[in-house]
Amino acid sequence: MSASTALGRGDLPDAWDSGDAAGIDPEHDRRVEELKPAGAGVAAFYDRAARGIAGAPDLAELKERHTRLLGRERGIVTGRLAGLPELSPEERRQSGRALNLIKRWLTELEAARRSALEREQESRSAQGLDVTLPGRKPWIGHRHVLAQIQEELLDLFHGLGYSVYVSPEVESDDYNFGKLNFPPDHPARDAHDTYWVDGGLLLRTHTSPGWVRAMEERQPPLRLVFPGRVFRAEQVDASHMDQFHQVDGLFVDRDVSMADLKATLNTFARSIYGRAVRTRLVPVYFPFVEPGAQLDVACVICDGSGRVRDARCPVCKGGGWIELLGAGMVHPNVFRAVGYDPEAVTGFAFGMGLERIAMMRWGIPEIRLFLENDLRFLNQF
Amino acid sequence: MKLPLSWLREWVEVDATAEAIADALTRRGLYVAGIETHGASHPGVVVARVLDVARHPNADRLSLCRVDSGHGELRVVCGAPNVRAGMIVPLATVGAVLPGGMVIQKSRIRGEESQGMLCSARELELSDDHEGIVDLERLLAASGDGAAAPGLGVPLDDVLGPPETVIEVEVPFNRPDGLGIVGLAREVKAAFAGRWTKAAVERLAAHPKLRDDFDLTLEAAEGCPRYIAVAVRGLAAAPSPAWLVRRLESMGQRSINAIVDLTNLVLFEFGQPVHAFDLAKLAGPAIRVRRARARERLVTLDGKERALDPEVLVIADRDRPVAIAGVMGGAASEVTATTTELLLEVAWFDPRRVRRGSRALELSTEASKRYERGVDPEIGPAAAARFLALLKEIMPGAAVGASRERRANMPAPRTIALRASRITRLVGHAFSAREAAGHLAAFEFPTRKSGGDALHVTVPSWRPDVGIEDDLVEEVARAWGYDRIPEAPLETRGVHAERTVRERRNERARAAMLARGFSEAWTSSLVSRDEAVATAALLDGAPPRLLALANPMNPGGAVLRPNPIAGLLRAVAHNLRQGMETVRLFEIGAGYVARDGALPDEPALLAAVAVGPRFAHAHDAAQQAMDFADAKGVWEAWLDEMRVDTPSWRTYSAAGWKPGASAEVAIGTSRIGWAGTLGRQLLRAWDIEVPEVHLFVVRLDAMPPIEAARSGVNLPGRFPPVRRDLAFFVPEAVTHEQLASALRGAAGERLVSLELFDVYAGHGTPEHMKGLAYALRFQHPERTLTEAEIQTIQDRMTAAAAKTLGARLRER
Ligand SMILES: [Zn+2]
Repeated sequence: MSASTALGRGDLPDAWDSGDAAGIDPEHDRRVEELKPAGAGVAAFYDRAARGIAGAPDLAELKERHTRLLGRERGIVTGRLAGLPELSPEERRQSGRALNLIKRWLTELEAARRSALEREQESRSAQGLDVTLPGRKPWIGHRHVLAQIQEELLDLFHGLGYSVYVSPEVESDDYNFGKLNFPPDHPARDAHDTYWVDGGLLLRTHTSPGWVRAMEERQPPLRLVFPGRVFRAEQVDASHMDQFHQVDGLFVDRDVSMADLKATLNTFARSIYGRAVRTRLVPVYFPFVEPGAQLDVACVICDGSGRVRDARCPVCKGGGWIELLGAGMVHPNVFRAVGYDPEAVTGFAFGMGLERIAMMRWGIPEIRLFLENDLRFLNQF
Repeated sequence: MKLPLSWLREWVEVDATAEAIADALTRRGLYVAGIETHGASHPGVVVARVLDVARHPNADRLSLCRVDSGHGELRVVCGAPNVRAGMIVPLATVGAVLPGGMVIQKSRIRGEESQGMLCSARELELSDDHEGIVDLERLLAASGDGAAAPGLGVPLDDVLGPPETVIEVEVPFNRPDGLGIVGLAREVKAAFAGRWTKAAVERLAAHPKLRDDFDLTLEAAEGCPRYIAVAVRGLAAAPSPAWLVRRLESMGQRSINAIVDLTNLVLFEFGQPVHAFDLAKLAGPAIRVRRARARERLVTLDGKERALDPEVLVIADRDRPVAIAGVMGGAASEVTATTTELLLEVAWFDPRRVRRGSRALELSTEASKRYERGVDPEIGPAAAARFLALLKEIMPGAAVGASRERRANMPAPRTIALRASRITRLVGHAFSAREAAGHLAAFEFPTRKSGGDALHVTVPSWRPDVGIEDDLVEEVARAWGYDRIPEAPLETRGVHAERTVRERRNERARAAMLARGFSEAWTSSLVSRDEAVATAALLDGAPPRLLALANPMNPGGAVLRPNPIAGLLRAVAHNLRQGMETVRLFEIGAGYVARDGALPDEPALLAAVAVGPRFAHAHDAAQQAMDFADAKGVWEAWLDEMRVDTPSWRTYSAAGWKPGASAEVAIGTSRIGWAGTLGRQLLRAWDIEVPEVHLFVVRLDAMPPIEAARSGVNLPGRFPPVRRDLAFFVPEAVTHEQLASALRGAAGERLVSLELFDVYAGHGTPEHMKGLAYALRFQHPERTLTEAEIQTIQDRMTAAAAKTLGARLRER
């Protein structure tokens, strides 16, 4: 008696027959037919086993039935397969084929029935879930608009080889003015409404004192940017704030010229306003540079025409140009003040206001908004 | 400084539009803020007289006027209530075009023919006044000190003058020459290669004939190197001519009387302040230029009595001060309409001396502004001659009397050596000495070659700003044109950029806060004294070493903040007022702490505040107001991200916190921060009425470096850790931190983690004790730990906790 023919429907419970094997396996009837040459009992066994898998009512019962059939230690089919080597070659060939088919088909059926049951279980557990309800949402933080502008500028200048230098906000007269070539009692100081601190110090009116400190500490060549807060003793209104933010830049080497300055400033302008931006460099006076310069960009609102729909452009006031930054070649007196030889080195410097850039970019009408910290404003950036 | 085009053209022959001139000035460093047109043109509008006024038969509000147009009588219907017989009015005749574009036609108004229109100021665009028709006599009297009545039929434009185009120039501090029409004209001349007009050449060379007989002494010559005094007699009251009134109006200056108007004209034209005293009111008559004496006083032209001190240079007569040199004249010697003789002062005062006087008296004027920046020391004679010539035109009887000029220590002309190589080096474009000389000549800088590529350049007297070679480089560069400077290729020149430790740390601190759902705030560095004291007290028992401003703009910004807390609380209050229920903000910024004999300390601080619920949204039980533990969890996660591996949290109390709800954070023995819930009383000072505001402050400078140690890594063990749970009863006063550190200390290196998972009181807890339960994980890097080894370690931990803290193992 061969191992396979020993199998029969009676090896399995009658109740398994209620399962609809053909429902999950359209090939079922054909497969039963295919097993008949190996014996009617084998085919009947398979039929009942397949029905049992297909009809397993839940995952636990499915696992139970699967183990009974294909369990590694006590599975009926597994056991018969283990007995094959004891058979004659002819019997081994015939039974082996049938048993392997049964094993493969039952494995397929089990996987199909298992995923069907799992889906059923999942959909039961999700019952009553309204997927349109909002979720449990964590908070989002927003970077301050000025921090974003500052980061953008520092990134750009970092790419051009500039490192950051941080210098004090509370300064002495000497560093804020004297060493920057503001003579004592000079009218140029009037443009810097200065907050004085009890005891003779002052709140820096620009970030340029940083150049002096950096040059006193280091030797050229140097390429630095100086971001930070500056102060002017002014009444606060929509366009004036007594605290605002600048980024200065400084490049000192043996032969730095206005041609290097122009290239740097135009690179900066193109990065902020796009490659097509038109700029102009015009002379301007600052005590700490000579020659001095100012970079203007063509007004982005009226495209430099000065007019918007037959009226004067409100942004550039009809001039067609907007001041972007101040710049120039470092004054020889500043070099002398830090102990550099103005015949040995030359350098350029520039400075710009973060608020101005932000106000132009987003059309922000009020400078006060930057330090008010209204979340409806902050969270737009 | 305003530059009217008609005035400019009186000085230079230049064929260019206002726009081209404005652009050229800007590109040469005299920034043009705008171009404005003053006045409008009124073709067909003439001066007319109303002969009589009758009621319009068909309309109550209208009248019928007979008008003398100078070329015959016309009938005009008028709706203005102020029309009366004898009035001199502007008449728009048939065919006239008003500034708004309206063309006047013969018309019938309610059945009556009207042969023109009487105009209001608004219709003529003279002003916004549309209440009635313009009373030309009154209009001209107001501006011209009773100028002659205009003839009938004369075009209105001849009376009011043609429209004037005015260029508004922002003159930089270093260019006093730009504060005179002459100086701006010189720039325009250079820009367009134009030339001086014939009149200009004569005026610049003019020199008044002086008799050397006025009693003039320079007692303080160091403050006054040059003084010209000219007495003029035979004055008669005369109105300023219309051209003078218009000229001053285009400069934004009202007409006062002919003499004062002339001094203003010369001031604007040459940038040279001139002053006229009423000679009859000068004791002597004599002029002494000297320092003020102690306790001297002077009532200035603005009617204010001013106490003088020896820092102030004054003009005195024989007896007392009559003017503050270079700033303002005295009221007692003011010229009036009845003045019959005057003394003209044209002086050059030392800029620093005028600035001291102006600052001592807190008085800044058109004159002091120019003297402080530096008036051309050589322009005085031309200015005096111009004043005298114009005076004689207006008052033909005027005759020069006693006069004198005194000079002492006049500044000598400067010469500067200029190398073409220096220009090339700074500008980045090759220049020859010849080219440089050409550009300088356009600005009237005389040059001569001095061997090699160098020039000797003489600086003209009107350019006190040019003192060194690089100033001349700028002159050449701006004459040549900044537009033409090439762009050099960007090169690294061996300098590479580095992000500093501070930058990287701040960036990570910011990112870690953003990741926890906090938005970044930038708050004021200036706070009130009360705010500074209250917030400093939160962090430190000692009274803060505040930095106070000597000149605050308001009490809310009287001192520099010791930390950013006040600004964040202002932001909390603001946002709550605006109806927001959640405020999660942080700031990374400086605090300011005074130090003796050094610049203040500016520690880098991070502060964060949290108000409101746990989630941006949740509609179930998970949504609750953040409590201490929620907030602390956020701060702990932030510390984790900042690589603070084992921060120790210790109880801490100070004024302002909610009692018992504040802690300090330390690494080892070094305190790095504070956290807790703020007390109601503190919050009330900011008008914050919500129950819980959580605050976290960290001294970023005290944080460990964020970089991973470079000495190596701990390889993850391949033998999985073993978990054991231990639960203890400890006396109520013992903190988690104390127990955990005792357990860690006793365990040694096989204990890889210790995590609190339960705190309980309730059933089964002995009196005055509480339960704390920990999950422990033990691991050996190279093998599996045996049960016996683990038990030994556990026993050690239990024993240590019992010995130092009175902890008892809770039996299961
Ligand atoms: Zn524009």
